[in-house]
Amino acid sequence: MSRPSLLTLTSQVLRDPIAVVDAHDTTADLGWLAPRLLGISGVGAALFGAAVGSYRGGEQVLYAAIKLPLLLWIPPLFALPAIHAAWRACEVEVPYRRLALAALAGMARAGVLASAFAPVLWLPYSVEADYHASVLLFAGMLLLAGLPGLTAIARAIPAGGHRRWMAASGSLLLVGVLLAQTGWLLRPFVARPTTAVALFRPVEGDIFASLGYTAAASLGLYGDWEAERAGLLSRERAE
Amino acid sequence: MNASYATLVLVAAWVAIGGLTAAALARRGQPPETYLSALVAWPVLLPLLGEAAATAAGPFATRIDTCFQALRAALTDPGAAGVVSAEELTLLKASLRRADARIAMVDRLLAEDALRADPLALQHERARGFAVDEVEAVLRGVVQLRVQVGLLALAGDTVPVRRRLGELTARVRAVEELSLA
Repeated sequence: MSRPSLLTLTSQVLRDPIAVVDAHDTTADLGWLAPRLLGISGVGAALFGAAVGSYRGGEQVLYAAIKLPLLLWIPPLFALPAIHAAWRACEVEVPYRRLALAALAGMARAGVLASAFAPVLWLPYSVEADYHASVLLFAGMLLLAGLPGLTAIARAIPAGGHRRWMAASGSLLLVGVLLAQTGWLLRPFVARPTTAVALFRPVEGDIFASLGYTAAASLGLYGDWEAERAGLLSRERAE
Repeated sequence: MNASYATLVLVAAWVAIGGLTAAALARRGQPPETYLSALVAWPVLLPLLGEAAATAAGPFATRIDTCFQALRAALTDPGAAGVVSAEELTLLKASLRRADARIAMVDRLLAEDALRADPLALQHERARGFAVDEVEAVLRGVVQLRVQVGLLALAGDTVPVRRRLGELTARVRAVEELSLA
């Protein structure tokens, strides 16, 4: 079969990622597609990352461009075996190869969409937007880019089985939590204008407490939130 | 163990597993872009470890792809929904590709002058001829299956389609068993 060019493949994953999965159904196809789809998602996410980093400017543009592809890749890659197991538990036999291809196609679709959102994000950032509003805008854009990617994975699952909603909601929850916490570990993406630029911040607290504080702060309700260490991190403080 | 150290250990473990996967894929003859991808994304490349490297496409590669593409398109008709699963078609296509790859391998062997003079070459040629006939017959069957899917949309009887698919699957399986014997 004649292999599509990278540009054609980019267009295909954007329009109909499931068609890409269906048309490339052998293991050899997976070997050919994997690096290309990873490349598409990586480049797309890096462009989006560069736009995110432009809020702070300087080295942060490069740092965010490096970290955004990781944010896009890590959650589905970590979650893939668990998602496969969840669907099998609900008596839906989906070949792991198909699921892997769907995840790659979904990631590539999210990457392309993210790169399309980059100018939309860059525009408000370039007019000195509020920091907390900028973080929420970034999170919202990421969600908008990521959801169509997730639907690609969901649509690759064959029909049948029992209690499909459990596997579907479980998979969504798992990827969502992984995405949120990966983002938290890899921060800062939108660095505060007043702080020094750093590749990573020290690990502290968790994403959920921080999002609540950021949402309140964007409305002008500033509290005295302090990152609490728990579990493994509390041991670090005790040492 | 502090959090930064734990994170470093996790990252190192991830990259180490990726490195092992990449080395295994390189030994199986995968191209560099594929095995290097394993360093980052080894979970999606694990299925490649279960199979040998992709063999060169055989003489029927294009026809196989064309036939199955057309059949898949026909099966998107609402009247034919659910009659044949994507997995069944995938298995049938994979079996045909394996048979095609074996024909290509025999062709490569027969192309060598030293091997052509070997008495076993005649046996190879006979086996190749049989495999070619069978693959062609199955491909014709796939075309007929598409016609039956069209009829199904009008008549609504799924039995002939299922029966034809069963025959084709059994026929390809027979070629595989013969090749392995």
